Order: sequence, then structure tokens, then C-alpha cells
Amino acid sequence: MSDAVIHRRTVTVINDQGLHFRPCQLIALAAQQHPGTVVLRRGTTQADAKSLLELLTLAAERGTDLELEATGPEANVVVDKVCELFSNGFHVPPSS
Amino acid sequence: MQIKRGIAVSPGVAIGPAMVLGTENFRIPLRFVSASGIDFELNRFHAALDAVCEEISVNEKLARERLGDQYAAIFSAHLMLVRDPQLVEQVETRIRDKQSPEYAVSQVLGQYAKRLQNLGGQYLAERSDDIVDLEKRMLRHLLGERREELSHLTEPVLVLAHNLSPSETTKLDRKFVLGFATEVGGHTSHTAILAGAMEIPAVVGIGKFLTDVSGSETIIIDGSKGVVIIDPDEDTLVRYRDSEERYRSHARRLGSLSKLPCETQDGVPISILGNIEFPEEAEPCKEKGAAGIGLYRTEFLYLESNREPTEEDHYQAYCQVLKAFPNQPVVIRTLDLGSDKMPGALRAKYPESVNPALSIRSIRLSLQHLQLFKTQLRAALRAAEFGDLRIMFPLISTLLEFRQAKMVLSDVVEDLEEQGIPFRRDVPIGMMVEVPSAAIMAEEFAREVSFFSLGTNDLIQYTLAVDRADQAVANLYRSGDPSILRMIRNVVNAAKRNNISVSVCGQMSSDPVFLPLLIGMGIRQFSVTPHAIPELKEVIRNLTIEKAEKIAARAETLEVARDVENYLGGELKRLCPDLMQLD
Repeated sequence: MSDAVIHRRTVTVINDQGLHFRPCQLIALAAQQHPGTVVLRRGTTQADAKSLLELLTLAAERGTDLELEATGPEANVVVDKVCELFSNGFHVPPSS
Repeated sequence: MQIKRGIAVSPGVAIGPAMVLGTENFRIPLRFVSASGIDFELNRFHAALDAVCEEISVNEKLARERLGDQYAAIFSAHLMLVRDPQLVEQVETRIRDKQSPEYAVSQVLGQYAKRLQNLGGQYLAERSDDIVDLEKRMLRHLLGERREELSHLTEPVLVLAHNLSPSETTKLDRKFVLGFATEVGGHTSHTAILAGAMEIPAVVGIGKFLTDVSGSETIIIDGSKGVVIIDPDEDTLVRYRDSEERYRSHARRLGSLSKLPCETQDGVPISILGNIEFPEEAEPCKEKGAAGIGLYRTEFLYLESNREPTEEDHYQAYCQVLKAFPNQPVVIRTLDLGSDKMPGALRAKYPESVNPALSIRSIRLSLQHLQLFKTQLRAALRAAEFGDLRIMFPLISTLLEFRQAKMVLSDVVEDLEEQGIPFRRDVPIGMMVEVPSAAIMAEEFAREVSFFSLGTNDLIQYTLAVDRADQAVANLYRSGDPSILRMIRNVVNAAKRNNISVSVCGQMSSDPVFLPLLIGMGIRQFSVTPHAIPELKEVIRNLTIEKAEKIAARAETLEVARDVENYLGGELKRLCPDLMQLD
């Protein structure tokens, strides 16, 4: 039942480099915590947000709008986490 | 059931399960064939993932210690790539679909790499390189293990590959590798020659066929006819089991011929010598009944290691061959390499030529690198003290060239004399007749050389302008072409008039079909791949000179290769019905 609940939000790439290795890595790490699916979409291109390989193929530069979508229990949590990564430009304390 | 045709290079029939080695730089098997199946292959995949993670972790640690966290971060990203859920999932799916882990990994990562490449931009192109690098690491682990498997086989297999290098071929375990088939290669490729020496049924030059093999299918390799049958039906299998058995008993019968004299029914002796590349082949060649070595190819001395062989390397090798044949001729052919295969030191000097067959090769190379040439000649003259060693220059195309080569030899003789080093002075010096110009000028050459050896492989290639290893034109390469017979006739006549010996050492002489013709043309000496000796002996012992001359006279009137070859095939069948029973 919970699978049917879809959390969707639009995120914008605001960091200079766009979705490079490090940002993709952070997104994937966050998404992998979530048991359900997490997807990022750019137009018709869709990427499994748990996969670094797929995230890279979005080739998202600064200013790109992406659609974030998660399903499964507490999907809102993972959506919040990923949104936060985007909004603070993937600046996270190195300790994580 | 599918039937694939290629070039028959090593006779015999082999039946068994396929083991496929792949097509790219890395030998990637498309499908796995091991009986242990999917779980086994999944485990191999995960073991390779673990091994790559381990490698990257070590690098990460080193980078952190030496360069700082910032640099270590790149490795942690690589670690994530290895553990990428999409990668793991997609590869596992493919393995469950019976793709080999090697193939699955290279397909999945290859697709991602291509996607990133196509998105443009330098950053993504570099990430694409990262993925290619990961693919290579994975394959190294997966295939490292697979290569081991090839040398540690526990059950019989037929090896199917895009190509096998000569060194891979020699390493094949004859106990378990029943036969092999490759997509590329021709009659005269070293791999083919080695397969013959090792008596492993083999077919080469099949063209693309590996994609048609899947699962642990049964394969038949018919190395006598050049046919590979994938997933044969019951009838075919029964038929081939039968011929496999007949082949074995035939081989036993031919083996018993080795002690009998090699002469025609009317008592004319014919010498059959062996062609070898490694000194180690000399002894088995003798066991096959060879009356000497008619062609010792010395190229492996140059190709085996990266350094140039020393005079001592040459000397030791030649002495080893002479030891097996102390009282019989051993003909050493000087360096016969070209711009497609260059000894290490010269590789940089000659970038690969557009047209290697017409470029700097063979005697031309020796004459441009006198030190290299003299080293070999010194060793040969010294070794000649211990037997009937003869020296032969390859690819001579003009008289001037032959005279130059002989002049270098005189220099070497003088040097050895001055240095007081023991050597033999009266070593016979001959030449290969393998360039049409030499065959045409045979009369003039015959006055200056001690012997001719007809190198039919190159002679045919140059006369008909056909590269036999090139799939697109291989069918135009015909030993029976009348132009070839006419060349041979001219050389034989010139030799006879000048009272020098002439032998045939190309692949043509190893084919029983052409033997009666060549004997009928007046040739009494042959140098052949050792495994062909017993069969040729059987043909000779069923032949009279009169009959051979009749066959030659008739064959020489025919106008096209097909007619010549059909006629000779028919005559051979009449002469030796047993021989053809194998078909």
C-alpha cells in the first residue's frame, strides 16, 4: 500500500559544478538508505538515484531543474534529505 | 544444428563441449558453458567485485596517506561505482540469462561509458574513461581466473576463439583441449602450423561465428575438411563418432609406416624432411620419420624475447637441432620477419607498413641490418661443424640481392678465420624461390646457388596477388593454379640443367593431393609439416614414377585451378583409397 504513495518534488542544481562525481555520490548515498525507489528525472531521461552510474548520465549542470520522485514507506524522508543536498549546493561537513 | 566452414589446418575429428573465448582485446566469452551454471558464475562476478574493491581500497588508503583526503575522495567514488546497485542488478540479470560475467560486465559498463561519452563535455568524457577503467579492472579479475582455467582444465573441451596467439596455442593442454576453431587466421598462420605439429584438430578463418554458440553446446570440429558443426543432430553425431574412431585407427596405421623406407613402388627414393620453428620440434619430427630438416624457421628466436638473440642463442638452438639429425641435412633459413612482425629492437625504426608483404622484410631486412644478419650467419657457420647444416636465404628477388647476401657471408667467414674460431667452410648456400621474379630467372640463379627450395606459400601469394589470411579473397588462393605449376616447372627444369637440388617446402608439399604431381614434375625432395609425413609416405609407397609423370603431364595441360585440383583429387583417390576414406 505504502508503495503506492509517491512523493514528488522539483529540485534545482545550484552548485557551480553541477552533478559531478561528488554530488552524485552524496545523492546515491542518501537514496540507498531508503528501501523504496528513488528516481531523478530530467525531461525524458530518468535515473535511479541510488546509482552513481545513472546519476552521471543526467549530465545536469548548474540551473537544471530535475524532478525527484520516491516511493515506499517514509518516502518523504528521503525526498527531504535529497532536497536538502540540492539546496545547500552539496556542501556537507567532511565528517559524513 | 549449424555448420560453419573455415580453413582446415590440422586434420582429425574432435567432438565435445564448447569453451568460448571472446572477441575483443580481452578475450570475452559470450556465454558460459560450465556445468556448475548460474550460481557459480554469479559467485565469480561477486568475487571479482570484491577483488576490485580491495584494489581500490588499497589505492584510497595510499592516496589518503600520501596526498590527503581530497585525493582519496576520488577513490571512494570509484568504490561506489563498483558497488553500484544498477551495475550489480543488470549484470546479475544477464548472468541469469546465461551470459558470461565477463560479457555481462563489459556490456553493462560499456553502455554507460558510451552514454556518458555521447553526452559531451570533457568532464563526462573523463568519467566515461573511469568507467572503462573499471571495466578493465573487472575483466582482469574475471579473465585472469579464466585463463588459469584454460591451463587447468579437468574435462575435455573444444576451444572456440576469435584468435589464438602462437604462445597460447603451444600452451594448450593436449590432454583436455580436443580441438580448436578460430574466427581469423589462415593456412600459413603460425597458430595453424603449431596446431598441426601438436596434432590437435583445428579449423581457422571461419569468420564471425562465436555469437552463434551459446550454452554448453556440443561442437564437432572436423580439422580435415575445415568444418565446425554447432549443436549437431543425432545422425551427424553418430557419423562423426564413427569417423573419429576411423581417424584414430588410421593414425595408428600411418604410425606403423614410420620405419618403412620412403620410396616409390618402383624403388625411387624420395626424401621427406620436416619444417620446424622450435628446436624442441626436431626430436618429435625425427620420430615421424623425417630425413632431416628442410626448413628451420629461425624467427622464434627473435620473437620470443624482447631482446635481440645473441650469437650464442642462435648457436645453441642450431646445435640442438643438429643433435637430433647428426648425419642428415638441416636447412637453416635466415631471418624471415617483416614490417608486420619486427624484432624488438627494430620495431621503432619501421612503423607498420601499409603493405607489409611488399615492404621491408626477410632478406631485405637482413641486408639493411648487417650486424643482425652477421650474428646469425656466424652462429650457423660455427654450428655447421657438428652436422650437415645448410644456409638458405629467404625472399630473394634479384641476383644482386643473392650476391649481396653471399658477400656478407664471405665477410663473416673472413672474420671467423681471423679470430681463429672453428667453423665449417663448405656450407651449401641455397635460396627460397618464393618471389615470381626469382622463379622466372631460375636459370640464372641456378648457376650461382647450391640448392633451391620452392616456398609455395609466398610464391602463390605473390603470383596470384592474394593474401590467404584475408577472408575476402582467401578462396582465390589456389595452389593448383596453372600459373603456379608453370613457375614450378621452370624452376625444376633450371635446377636439373644446372645439376642442383630443388625441394618444395611450402604448405603445398604437405598436401597429399599435390604430391604425385610434384614428383611427376621431377621433384625428389620435400620439406613438410612433420605430422603430414606418414600420410605422404603412404602416397609415395603407392606411386610409380611413370604414373606420377603421367599425372603431371595431364595436370599441366589443364587451364584452370579448379580442374587441376579436381583431377589431382580424383587421381589420389584412385592411388590411395584408404587415405580418402577419412572424408
